[in-house]
Amino acid sequence: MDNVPWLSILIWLPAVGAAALLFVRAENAVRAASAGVSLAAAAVAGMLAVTFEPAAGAAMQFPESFSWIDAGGLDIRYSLGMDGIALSMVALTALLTPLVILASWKSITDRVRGFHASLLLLEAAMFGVFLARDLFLFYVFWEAMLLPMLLLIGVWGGPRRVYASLKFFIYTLAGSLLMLVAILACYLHAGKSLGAPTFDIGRLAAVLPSMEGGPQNLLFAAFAIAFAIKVPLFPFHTWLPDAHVEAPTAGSVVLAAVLLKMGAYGFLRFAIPFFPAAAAAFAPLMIALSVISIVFGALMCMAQSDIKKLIAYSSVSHLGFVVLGIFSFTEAGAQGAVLQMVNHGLSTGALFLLVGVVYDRTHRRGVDDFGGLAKPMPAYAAVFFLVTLSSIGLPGLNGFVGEFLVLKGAFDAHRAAAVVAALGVILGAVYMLRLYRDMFWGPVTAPRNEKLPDLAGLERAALAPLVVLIILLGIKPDLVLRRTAPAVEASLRSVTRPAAVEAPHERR
Amino acid sequence: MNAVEWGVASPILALLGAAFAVVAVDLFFPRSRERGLTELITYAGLVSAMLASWMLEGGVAFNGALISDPLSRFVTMAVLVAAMLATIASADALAARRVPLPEYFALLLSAAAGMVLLAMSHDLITMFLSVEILSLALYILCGITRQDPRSNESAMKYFVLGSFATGFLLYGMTLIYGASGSVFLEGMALKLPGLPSAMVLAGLGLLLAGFAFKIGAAPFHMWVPDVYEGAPTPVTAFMSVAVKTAALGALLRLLVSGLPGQEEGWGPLIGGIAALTMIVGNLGALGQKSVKRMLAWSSVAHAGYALIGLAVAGEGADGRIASAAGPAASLFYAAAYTVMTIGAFLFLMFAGRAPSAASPGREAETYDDLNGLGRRRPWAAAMMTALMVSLAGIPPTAGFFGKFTLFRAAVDADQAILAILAVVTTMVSAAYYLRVIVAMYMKDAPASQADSESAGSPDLSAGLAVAVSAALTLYLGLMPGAVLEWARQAVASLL
Repeated sequence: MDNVPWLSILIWLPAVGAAALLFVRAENAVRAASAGVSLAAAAVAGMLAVTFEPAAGAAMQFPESFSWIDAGGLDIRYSLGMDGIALSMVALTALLTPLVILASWKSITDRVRGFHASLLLLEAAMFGVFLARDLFLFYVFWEAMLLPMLLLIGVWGGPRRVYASLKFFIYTLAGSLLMLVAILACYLHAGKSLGAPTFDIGRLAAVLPSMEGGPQNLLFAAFAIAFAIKVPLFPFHTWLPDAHVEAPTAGSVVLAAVLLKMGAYGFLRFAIPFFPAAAAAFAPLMIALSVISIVFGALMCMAQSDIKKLIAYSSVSHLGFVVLGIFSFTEAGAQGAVLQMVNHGLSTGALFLLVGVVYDRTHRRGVDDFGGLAKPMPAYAAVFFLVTLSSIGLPGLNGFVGEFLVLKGAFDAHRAAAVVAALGVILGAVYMLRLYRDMFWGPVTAPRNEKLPDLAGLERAALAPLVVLIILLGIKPDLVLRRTAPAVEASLRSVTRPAAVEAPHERR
Repeated sequence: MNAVEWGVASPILALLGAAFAVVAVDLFFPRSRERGLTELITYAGLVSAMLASWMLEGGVAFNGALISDPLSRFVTMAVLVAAMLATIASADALAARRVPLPEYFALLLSAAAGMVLLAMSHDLITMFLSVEILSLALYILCGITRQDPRSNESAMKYFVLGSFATGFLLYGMTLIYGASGSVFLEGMALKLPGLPSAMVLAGLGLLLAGFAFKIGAAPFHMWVPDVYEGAPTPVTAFMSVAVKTAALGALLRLLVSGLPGQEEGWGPLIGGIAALTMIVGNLGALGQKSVKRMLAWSSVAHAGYALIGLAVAGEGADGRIASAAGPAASLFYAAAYTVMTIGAFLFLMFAGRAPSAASPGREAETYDDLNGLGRRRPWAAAMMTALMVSLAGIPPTAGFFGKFTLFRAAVDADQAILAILAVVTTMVSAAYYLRVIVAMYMKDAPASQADSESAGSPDLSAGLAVAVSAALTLYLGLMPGAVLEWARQAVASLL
């Protein structure tokens, strides 16, 4: 059991599955095969979550490492490993992929094979991003996500899908190419101070913090822009509403639930541990941007008449909390941020699934198109209500704990920022409850909505796990927090206790 | 040393022998049997040249005029792979346009022989002769579809401008010879220590102008779009990659082994050319409606990327270049560029309709011709997607790893500004490469076109060539180690 390369299996299972789909003919067989592959990956991920040892501290678990490209003076390794933060993100990915496959069962009828192959390739690349322990490998997975996502939005999306998919692609590429140059600079810097250049993330984290101020600031900025585009942080957010509105339900869910987290993950994993001094210097700016994102996103939500666009802007607002928590550099704040990453994945993923349900039935998604839906679709209304409450952070549900921890951390570090950010919580309640009122309460406004069928079996199956987790994490957030605590502490250590990581030369 | 070292020259001899044999077929056999025989002889010539280059020992021959070393072998292999892929795609398409195949293949083989000679040339005279051999063959190949006015225009433009460029080249060589007193690369290196004199600088400038023309680098790139567009597609595919690779190899040898002490002179010059070429090529490609023209402009842009590695070679303390990493990255990039670009050009034949008895066939030309291809021909579209992703520099493909090694060399040489410029222009390039993917997958063909397309069968021989280059593109992206190490040794052998 110890020698099984579980992480490789997790990554390559969906990739091989995607290739295997090319040999399946019937559409329903393709759907079933795709669901089967993603469920198998979910089972592997579940097994890893159970065997993961929270007490082992920040050390990487299930490590794998062997030489990949060792030529022309390069030393690139295929190394994987998992800590608590990676575990929570991997679990989220593994959970949501089968759910979106279920949700797309009936709604995707054109080029089914290509759709599921793209989705599985995307899943493989997402696992790779979270598990890579070599910076080059990380970058390869990071970029490998682009093409499947481009196709998901651009082929199976709405009317303006081409524009939206290109915008998504080019924004992300812009950020990541700058990051590539920064990655190379890190590699060469490690070569100068260690004697041999390395892409190993652990060794880079030991040697890069001692870099002098000027270059460190530049490199931090290059990484931070790439991640800020992905999060997305104001003013880099403009690709997000377009991508979300045009993407098919599956694309929206994966985008919101997992892809956006990669920005925050990048801050925790790379930008802060590699460049602590620069991160501390840039913290006021990052906090200001995250507070602006929180308030600006919430205000934009108030003005939307398109449900998908509203939820897209709510992501900007919620992810602002995540970045705020991370850059408070307090344990509560960062722990809350990681928990919020999971929570946002669950509740926003569920929201996009829910919007997809009525969109499949009516091909409309304006707030005005609906009204009084509680009458024809009572179960739908109930689930929507629960998810709405989770999204606005009602105590007892998952959203509350994360938001509370973030605000507590921010309050200790930057009181004013926390006060303004708390405004975002209030605005969040306003726009979400207003959306709920307009969609569900009162008499049925449009006659065509009177006979809408309630949630069908597949839709129930897709939503049930999310509902369970929303309640479960509300009662027992410790399920996540206990596993992420050592990793979060480790990634902040270089900022909060600079002495502990100085003098990497002696260490080696 | 009176014995003639035929062994070193054997790859060239194999190619020329095949060329003569192909012409003989034309004389002695009836038309009906020409095609099979010429193709067979061409493949035999290419394969035996590959084997000869691969297996024979290195060494200097003909009193130092020719050299066989890892660099020449690297370039020879890239050129011959390109020639092989072009040959696979050629026969059907050109026979349908009533091009006499023996002439065509004889010229293709002579051009390849000129390129291999260029890669092996070890003095200025041989270098110049080989440039002439390959250029003359290519001038004719561009115009070989005589009924097509665009093909005529292409040949004419290439010939007139190309003659100018060889003039520059010759003048530059003369000045370098005047300054150093030697046409041999080692002699030049010995006799030109210290700072570049005005005469050397002038010579270098003219020399680089000549090579920039052959490589298609700005500001000597104006001919590229018209010539590449007008020439028959297999010829375009072949010349766009093989000439560049051969000329880059020769330039590398000339500078690294002949003029290493003059790096202060040529380093910044090449850096400037590379920067300008990246900008001009990518902006030029943005506005095109024809995919073939877009690929022509993109080949200009990629010449700029490939030159980065040479520009950042740097000068070491011992009168040699400072690091082999930059030139090695250039060589690797040339190999990556070869496989991805030749596939992209040949895809235009594959995406259209094969020639048949009834019609001369049709190639895909504009972006709109590719609309809906993902639905009609999923395999063709998937292969082209891999090639476009590679040209745009996205992993896991050859184009990405090539750019990665180039950027590494640039950042390592403290010339990050070149890497950043390359990054910005790469971003621009994504816009036009993605248009191909958008057309294939996200737009639908009008019903009339879809019907007429399905009437003809696809050009499967071109398809085979595209499949091979797509596979090589992925191989070089996932397992670049062996080729990268080879490129490093090729440069190290010059030091």
